[in-house]
Amino acid sequence: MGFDRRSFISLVVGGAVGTTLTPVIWKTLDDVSIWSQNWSWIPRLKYGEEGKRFALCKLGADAYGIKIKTIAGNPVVAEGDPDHPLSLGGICPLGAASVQLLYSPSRVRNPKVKDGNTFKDISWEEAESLLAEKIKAAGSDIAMVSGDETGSVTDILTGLVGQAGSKNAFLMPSESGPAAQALALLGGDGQIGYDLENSDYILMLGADVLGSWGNVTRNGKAFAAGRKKDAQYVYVGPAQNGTAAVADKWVPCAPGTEAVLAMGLAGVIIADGGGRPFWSGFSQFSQFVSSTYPLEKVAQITGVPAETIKELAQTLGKAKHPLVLTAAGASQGLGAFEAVAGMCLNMLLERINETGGVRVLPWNPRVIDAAMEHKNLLANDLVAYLSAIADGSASAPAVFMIYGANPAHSLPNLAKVQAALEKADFLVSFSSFMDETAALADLIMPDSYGFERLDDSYSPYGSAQPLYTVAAPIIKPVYDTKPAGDVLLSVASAAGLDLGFDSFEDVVQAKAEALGADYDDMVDGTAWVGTEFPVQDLELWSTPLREIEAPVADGKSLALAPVVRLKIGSSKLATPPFGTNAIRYDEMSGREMYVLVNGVTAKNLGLQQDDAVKLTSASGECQARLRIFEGVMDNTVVAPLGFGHTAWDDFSRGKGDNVFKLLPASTEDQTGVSRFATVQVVLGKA
Amino acid sequence: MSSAYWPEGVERCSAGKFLVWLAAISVFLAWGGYAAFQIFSNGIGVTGLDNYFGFGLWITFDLAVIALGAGAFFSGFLRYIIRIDELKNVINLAVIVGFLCYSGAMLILVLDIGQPLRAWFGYWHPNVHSMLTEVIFCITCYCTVLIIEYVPLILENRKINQNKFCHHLAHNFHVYMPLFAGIGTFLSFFHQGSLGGMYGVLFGRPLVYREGFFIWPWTFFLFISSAIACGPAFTMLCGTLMEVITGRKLISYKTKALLAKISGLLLCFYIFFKILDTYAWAAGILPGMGLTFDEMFSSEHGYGKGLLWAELFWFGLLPAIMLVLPQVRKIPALMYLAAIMAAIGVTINRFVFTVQGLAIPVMPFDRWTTYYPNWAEWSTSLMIVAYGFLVMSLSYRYLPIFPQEVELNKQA
Amino acid sequence: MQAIEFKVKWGMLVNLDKCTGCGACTVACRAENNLSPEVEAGNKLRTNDWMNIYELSNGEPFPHHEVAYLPRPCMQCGKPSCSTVCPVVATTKDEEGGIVSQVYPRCIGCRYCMAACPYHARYFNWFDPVWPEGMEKTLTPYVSARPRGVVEKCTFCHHRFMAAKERARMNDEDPTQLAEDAYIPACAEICPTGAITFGDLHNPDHEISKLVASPNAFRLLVKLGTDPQVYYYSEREWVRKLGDNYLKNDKGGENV
Repeated sequence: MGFDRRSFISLVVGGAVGTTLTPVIWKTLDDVSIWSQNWSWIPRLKYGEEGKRFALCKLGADAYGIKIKTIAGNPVVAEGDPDHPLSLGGICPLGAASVQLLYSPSRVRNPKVKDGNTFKDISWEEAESLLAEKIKAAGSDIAMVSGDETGSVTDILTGLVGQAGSKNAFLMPSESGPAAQALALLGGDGQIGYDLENSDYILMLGADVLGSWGNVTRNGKAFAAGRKKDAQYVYVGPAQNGTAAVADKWVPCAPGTEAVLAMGLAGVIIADGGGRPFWSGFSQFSQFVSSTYPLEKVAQITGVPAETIKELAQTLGKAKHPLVLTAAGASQGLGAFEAVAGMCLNMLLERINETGGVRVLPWNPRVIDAAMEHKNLLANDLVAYLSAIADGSASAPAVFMIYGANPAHSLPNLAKVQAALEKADFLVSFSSFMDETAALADLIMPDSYGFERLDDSYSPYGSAQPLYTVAAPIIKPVYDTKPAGDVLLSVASAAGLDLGFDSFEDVVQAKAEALGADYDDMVDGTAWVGTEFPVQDLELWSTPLREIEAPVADGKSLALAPVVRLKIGSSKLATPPFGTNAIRYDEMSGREMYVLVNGVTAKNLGLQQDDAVKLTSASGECQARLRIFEGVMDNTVVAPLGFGHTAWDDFSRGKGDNVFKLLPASTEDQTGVSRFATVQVVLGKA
Repeated sequence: MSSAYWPEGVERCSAGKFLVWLAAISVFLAWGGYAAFQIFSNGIGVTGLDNYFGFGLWITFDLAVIALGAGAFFSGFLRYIIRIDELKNVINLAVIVGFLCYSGAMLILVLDIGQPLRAWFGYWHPNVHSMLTEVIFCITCYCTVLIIEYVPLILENRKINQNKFCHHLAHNFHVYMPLFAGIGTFLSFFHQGSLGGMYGVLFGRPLVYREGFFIWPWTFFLFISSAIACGPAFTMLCGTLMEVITGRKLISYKTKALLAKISGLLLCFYIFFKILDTYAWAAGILPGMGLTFDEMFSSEHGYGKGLLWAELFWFGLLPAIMLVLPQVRKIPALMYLAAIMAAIGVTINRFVFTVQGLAIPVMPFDRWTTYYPNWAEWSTSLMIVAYGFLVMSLSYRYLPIFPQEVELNKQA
Repeated sequence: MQAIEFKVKWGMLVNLDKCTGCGACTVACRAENNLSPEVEAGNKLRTNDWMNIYELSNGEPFPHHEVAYLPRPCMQCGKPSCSTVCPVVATTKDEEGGIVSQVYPRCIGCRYCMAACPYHARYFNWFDPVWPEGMEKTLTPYVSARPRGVVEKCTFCHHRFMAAKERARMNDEDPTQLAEDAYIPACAEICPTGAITFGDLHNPDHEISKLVASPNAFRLLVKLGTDPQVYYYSEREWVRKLGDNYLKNDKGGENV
């Protein structure tokens, strides 16, 4: 075989050309590029007509209107509702993650009854007749907890309990309870709201206005508008947070002593000639303040220098429309007297029912006769009740119904709370999600998710106007769930308790009617806004005057400053699937949460950045990692609430630790309110 | 019986021994293969790479072996174009080492890119402004050239060569070898440079960004010179390692010393400019970015200045001086040591440019991060090393790579 | 490569004196752009966060410490460090509007663009995205779901730009003269404190074109020459100073 240069070249060149000319290569490459875009396990997009529907976001403490984008009728994303007074186009991190919660892995997909250590699926008929039977048998030995302060399902629940002859109806602790008690102590009657929009100097005494307090989204919009007209914002609290980051000034103040600072400010204002001697209660109050709260003492308790207190008082006095917002850092756990202190400061500044001041709104109207007056409901203290059950000083109810709340995770005195829930003969959860409370329950009757049912809300705490919002369902229940309102009405009637309504919609319609609103207009999301504010005849705090309990530093332990960050979750909701990524690397490392102390405190304790640490209080322990953050007061440790879930799903379970374990609750004299804003903790290496 | 397949006149170990050796190599191949399977079926998430370190051990490995594999093109260049005849004794070895380095790097790249099925997009949708496009072009083309250079070696196997067609084919390949060497040199110069250019153009990365000449940043030239400086030394080291493993003399010491001398001279050239470049960078580029030299290092995170001093002096200047000194080259241990140091130096250089460049926080509020390669990256990298040993073992056993072998061992 | 000058140049300005770092923008962005929910988001070196929030500190100890939050979308650089290096033209800056594109079906996943971007605005899909069962029904029709192995990043909600232009054409308006509210990315739209302003930097009717002229407006790492289209705003000097690297006693730079 001859093989010369020519054959060699023909072979090489011919081979190359031949290969390129066959379609095999090109066809394969083309196919490959198509495959690599169309893997079967990557979901396809669904197209269709775009719509926008109104909904209520009640995932945090607030209840505000949002818009849900739908594609061919399916909800896809949530955005703010520019027309709703509490959204004004804004949305909170939980609201932004709300649509995907429809399909959260922790949704309870059908009714379940406890079967040993697990649950057994049952039908709705079985579940309803089981509950009706239990209620019938329990008689008046029945109790309920609701985490929904503003919705009418709570009215149905309190009505059911009331009709059965029980007074054991409770709301989860919040800001509104102490605020209502405070107003009552001062001779007023109504729900407290704040005209943030028209204030020009807002002193936030512990109130994390832009993070977790009141109507977070609306607060943000009010703040943004205030920035355009030179309103001033001063944040007073133990540590810097999102609110402090944008406030004009941060005044470090020991956790749980913000109300003492309010008294100190009141003292300076009175000493400077503020207030009028002829006001009722003025003489007692001013005498009490000057004798109990001399400036140095206030400075010593709060850690705020006397000079700063004077300065603050003077600026407050000079402002045209000042407003003082008093709250616990985590927007819960405040005592009534602390709320009184804040109210009195506003009264001294003549800010009640004034432009840019404190508003007093009419109460949520009662449409179910047997339902508890909202005022009375707010006065019932859940933590005290559960602690009493755990201690054996109160008997556990035969039927205990939990709606829209997760007491087994999100209450102080947690060990006792859990013990009390376990003591209940028949614990019923209406949760849409497998939360810690549902996991303990004997029966779960899963409520349809907010977007799957009719929902309503009357003036969430903080709202400056009486406000009633109704949201129609956007989508049919995606699982075998039912709206709790309807289920409760049907169960009540099966148990022989007539609440006067057949369906939840009737209740909502009746409420709209009671307010003078047009229900048909409202189901589109047009909120009803009231304009009447009950006249108040208030007197300054004069009975029972007592010193506000303040935490005592012992030189060894640190003051705990619990904080709420909505992206992590709320007392109702664990971190939603779409919320995990919003948690920053300096808030969480792997599955561990960070607690924050400043450099000096860390050095004193011999601790370093990223050390594994343990927090120990009188009531429990928590594990965390240490982050050194200079925006924290000396001898103070900041810890986030909302972690440490044991139920729910992979997005939250086993991440961080539950700071509620550290918080004991003390009962306030006279008012019976449970206080749990802070506690002394020992911080050491884990 | 198998001796019929061996090159003429040489001794090779027994088939049993050889199989044990292959089995040992296969362990690494299997481990890496398992990792590769995990990577292809689950995604690159199984590695230790992350959003800050999109490049890590794999890219460092690739750049290092490509630099060390530069012995192939540069020896080819010197042998066929400059006509340094002495190098005919190592040219086969250089070609195989080069082929292994380049094909290994390409295998790693297939693992490293997120969409290996789209690897050819570099040809179909090229961005002519990207240094990486040039790298893709040149590396793949050069790898083809290396295959073309390797094929005639295979054809020279005693049995294969008995086939007339193969014999002629091999002969013709040899005739055209200077042409391929020329193409290889051209391609190699460019991609070695482009690999450096890839970093030099990253104006968002203060550690690696460089000014330069026309469109080529200085790193373009530094990468070429460091590669051609280390390539011959590495080829020489490979040959020596084979001598150690096989216990036979394969290359004359004279040839080795020549390779070492070439490396030494080029290393001197390189390190001079590298030091100049480092100074110009620290004094010119960094201040312009508002940064200081000190801010480029963090020993707390594993990226201290020690690495730079090691690269420049202990594994740069020192081996350069050692290799140019005839006195040092006369002492085998010192010469080998210097060659190893040079190889380490270029590896450190590639590591620093790849990993440390990404570890430095550029936004003032960002943080230093540390990268740890995990088992999936180590095992696949070792798989490539094992692949190199495998091919080299087979080549050594069956192909006439070392023209001096018969002679040298006769003398012994 | 020569930077293209555009008639319309979309820009964003984040007022850091209003941002509380709440995270709503991050969440809204995920939902809008079909980023999958991540179980192990605690390892921030592996997450996919088109809108990532950083905490800024003035570096002083208590009680002189100050804090600010900085949301970081893609800077849509005028002279991108990323698109120029992409070997396969999977990311470009060549469309009117000046948004840096990202073509998922084109990307080969080499991550060279990630190495190039000093803002860490680019993210790699280390694994295939996973939506819990049923949750894929909440995918928007705007952005296709990306498989593993490709790089992605913020696109200023480019699909909203397309939709706005389409609407303008339907209404016989000039799509190159969109009204200020005709096109706004999801993050800017939902921010509860209204910290984010968005608009055409070249359109004098858009608020942003005035805001960026303020002495308090600044951009990140301009010294590198990236020419970002995302601006920040703060009246606090220490915040502005964190926008770039400065040598000691170095006063220069944008508005510092």
